[in-house]
Amino acid sequence: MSERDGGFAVYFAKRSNAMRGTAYLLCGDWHRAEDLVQTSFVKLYRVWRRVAKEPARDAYLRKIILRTFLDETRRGFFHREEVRGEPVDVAAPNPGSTEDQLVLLRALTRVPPKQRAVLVLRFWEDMSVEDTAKAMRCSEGTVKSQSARGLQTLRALVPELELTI
Amino acid sequence: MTEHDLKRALRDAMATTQAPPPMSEVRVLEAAKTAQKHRRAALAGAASAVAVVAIAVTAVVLPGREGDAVSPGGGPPATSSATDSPTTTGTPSTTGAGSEDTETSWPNGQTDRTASSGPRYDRGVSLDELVEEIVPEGYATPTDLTASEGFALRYHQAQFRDYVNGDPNGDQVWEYYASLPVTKDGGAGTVFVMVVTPGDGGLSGEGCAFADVLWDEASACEDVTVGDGTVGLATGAEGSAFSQWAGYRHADGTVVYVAQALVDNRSGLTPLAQLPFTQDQLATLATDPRFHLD
Repeated sequence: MSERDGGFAVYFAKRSNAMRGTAYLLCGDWHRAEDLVQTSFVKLYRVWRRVAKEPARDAYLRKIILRTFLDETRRGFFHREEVRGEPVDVAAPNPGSTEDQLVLLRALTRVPPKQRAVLVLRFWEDMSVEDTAKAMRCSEGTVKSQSARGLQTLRALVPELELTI
Repeated sequence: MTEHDLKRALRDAMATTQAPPPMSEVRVLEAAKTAQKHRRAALAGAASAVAVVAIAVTAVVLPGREGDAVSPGGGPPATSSATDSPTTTGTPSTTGAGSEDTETSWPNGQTDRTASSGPRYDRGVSLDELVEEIVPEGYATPTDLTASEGFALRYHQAQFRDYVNGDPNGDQVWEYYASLPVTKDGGAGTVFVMVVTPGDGGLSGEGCAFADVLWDEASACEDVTVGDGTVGLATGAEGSAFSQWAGYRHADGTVVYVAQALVDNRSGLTPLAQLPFTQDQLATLATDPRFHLD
C-alpha cells in the first residue's frame, strides 16, 4: 500500500463514522448516508495531497457531503416530503425515551433540506454562523434565518418534544 | 425548543440510534482508486480528441500545406495550435480542491455571490439612497460610523440568493439590502431594508407566515392590513438585531422587509430615545412600490 493509500485508510477509519452521522442527520437514511460518505471520500482521495491538514480534510468532506445532499435533493433524488404544520404521524413519545429521540430524528427529515442542513451544521457539527455560511455558500443572515425557521418547523412538527427536551 | 435543547437532543438521539457496522476502508479505497483510473482515462480520451480536432483544423487552415504529408507535429504553427486548443474551449478547470460537480455556479461570471458592479450592484446602491430618503426628519444618516472591527456601519449589498427551483438555467433569486445607522441626540440605531426577488421557496405565504423571521425569530408577529395587502408586523426578541420589522409580499412574489433597531451595539453609541418609525409607518413602508426591485 502506498503512503497516500495508507494515510487515506487511517484517516477514513478515524473520521468516517462521524461523517456518516452528519450525513445520516441530513438525509435520515443510513444507506444513503453511507453513499454520501463514500462519494465524499472518493472525491477527497482525488485531492488528498492538496488538502494536507486534517481540519481542512474534515471541512472538505463536510462541504462535499452537504453539497451532494442538497444537489441530490434539488434534483429529486431523495423522496421529497412535504412539511406539514401538524405533528408527525407517530404515537406521542414518552418523555426522555428512546422512542422520543427517534421522533426527533424522524421529524428532522421533514424539515426542508436547507433549514435541516443549517440545523445539522450549527447544532450537530457545532459550526459557527460564519463557517456555516461559508459551507452553505450563503450570507450569515440567511444562516440565522434558516436556523430560526428550522427550529420553528421542528417545534410545529413535534410539539411534544418542547416539553421533554 | 431552544438551540441548546436541540444540540443536546441531537446528541442523545444519535447516541441511542443503532448505526450500521463501520464502513470498510478497503472498499472505499478501491472505489476511490477505480474512480481515479476512470477519470484519468476520460481525461486522456478528451485530450486525444482535442488533439485530433487540432490536427484536423491545422491541416485544413494552414496555407501552403495542402497535400503535404506533414506529420502532426511538423511545424511550429501546428504545435502551437494543438497546445492552445484546450485553453480556448472554456472547459472549467477540475484540478482545484474547491471545484466540485456539486457546487452551485455563480451567475453572470461572478466569482462569488456578491455583485460588485453592474445592474444588480446598482440596485443595491439605489436601495441605499432610497432608505436615506425615507428616514424621518431629525435623524442623521452618517456615512463615517464604523464598528470596532473596522467595517463601515452603513452598507448595501446585492447578492445572488439561489436559482429558482435550483435550476441553473432558470431564473435567479436576488437579495438587495441596505443598512443605515441613524443617529439623533447622541444615540444611534439602525434602519434596514431588504428586498428578495420572486422565487425563494423558503419565503412563502403572506404577512407573518414568512415575516416572523428576519435573521432572528420574532417574539411576536401580527398581521395588519395596508391597502389591499397583508403585512406581517414583527417585534424582535431580546438580543435580536432589530427591534421591529415589517414584511410584505407583492403580488408577483417580491418580498420586502423594512426594519428598525433602537440600538446599534456595534457603534458604541447609546441607544436612540425613540424608534424612527411608528408601527403603522413601518407597515406602510413595506408596501411602498419604490422598494419593489427586480
